[in-house]
Amino acid sequence: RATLSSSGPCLQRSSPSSVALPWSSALKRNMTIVTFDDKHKGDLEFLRTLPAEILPEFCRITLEFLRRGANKKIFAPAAQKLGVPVDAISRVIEGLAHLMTESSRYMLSDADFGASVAVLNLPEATNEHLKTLYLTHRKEIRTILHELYPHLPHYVNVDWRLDVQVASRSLRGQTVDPQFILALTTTSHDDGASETSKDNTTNTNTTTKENDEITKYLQVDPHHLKHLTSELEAALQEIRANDVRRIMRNIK
Amino acid sequence: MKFRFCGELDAPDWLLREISSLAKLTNIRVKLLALQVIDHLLGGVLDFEKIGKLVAPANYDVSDVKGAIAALQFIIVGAAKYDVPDDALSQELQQLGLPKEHCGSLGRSMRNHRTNIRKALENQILKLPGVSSLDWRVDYILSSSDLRAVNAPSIQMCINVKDNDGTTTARPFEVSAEKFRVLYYELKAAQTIMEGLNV
Repeated sequence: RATLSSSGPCLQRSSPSSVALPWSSALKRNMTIVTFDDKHKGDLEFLRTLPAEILPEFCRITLEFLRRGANKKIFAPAAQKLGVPVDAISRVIEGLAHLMTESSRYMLSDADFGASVAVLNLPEATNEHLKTLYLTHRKEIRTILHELYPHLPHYVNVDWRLDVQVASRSLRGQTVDPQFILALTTTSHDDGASETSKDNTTNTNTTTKENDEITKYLQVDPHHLKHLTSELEAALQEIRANDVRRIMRNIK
Repeated sequence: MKFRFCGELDAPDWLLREISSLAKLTNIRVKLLALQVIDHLLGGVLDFEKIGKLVAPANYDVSDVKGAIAALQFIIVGAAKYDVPDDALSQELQQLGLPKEHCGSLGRSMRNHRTNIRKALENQILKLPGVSSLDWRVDYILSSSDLRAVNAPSIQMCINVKDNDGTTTARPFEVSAEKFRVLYYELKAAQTIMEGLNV
């Protein structure tokens, strides 16, 4: 899986031109077709030379690769049977996997997928097979891709209240101890497993769950709250820094 | 510019825009809109049909209506929250561009309903899960498997804790007589302190 999150098979080559690959498909997004650069095409050329029976096998291996990562041992017997080095097999598998993930990512329709694959000039049967493979497994590939991004809980709401402790069981009177009570609500969209949000001088009290929102009760004294707010304001100020401005300009 | 009804902060930009669109309505309509918003704050429902009729002459579309309601709510809640006197509120709204008559009528509505709004806001204060009810029972233990004749009283209590989302959890427990005496004494001391503060 680690290879998926980097830009795809071609980055493993030393040639600098291959870096353009995944983003070239992104830039041409308005055409909603996956475009391939030459290295990728070269890999998939190999598919043309395959006898028809082996193609399903390759597709199955590709899906396993997507689910679990590369397993060189599987490639070895296939390589031996076809008389090519293991390296070539792994390149083809990775090329296929990249084709699948890119198509799933942009949710290509049948026609678009067909058009993308047509560029490779593979025999019609191969194209059909690839298309069925894509359509049947698209959802699964998307869930796999989805899992590659970290899911942190999202902030929903903060309620606060300022209390003053005047007495306690052990200490009666003569102490004035102001404290803030915060109720921090977070939501985590997927599995509902959320970790603790920030605390300062804490006493994390009970948590309640309500349609996968979690409320944590926290205590802060004014000192730490002031520090917290100044840190958050400094974070907001960062938006005005030169580096950040440059990045925002480039995203637009 | 610092405004008291914004909690000594600057007025947000969206508020300025909404105030200029509110100024297009007549005085009476703004007052009736404000009454609708106050009604909603006190627990009623927003009557969208009536609101639609009120804003009809200004040709508001849906987002304008929402903006107007949001602005009025912000102003009213801010004024009640920060306890801004009516004339100060009126002045600040004039500075923001709301015409004088509108400010006057808003100020008068605030004067009439201020205590009610503050009470409603008080109910919304952050509350930790609290005790909703308490049941108790005094038993007398005659004997047990460890000791033939025990003859001691024991108290069983069940505290029902109500969470903020409305679920009630029952927490039953048992207290022996001595422990209960300590508990009772401490709670009484806390109660005297509370009454001392509750002037």
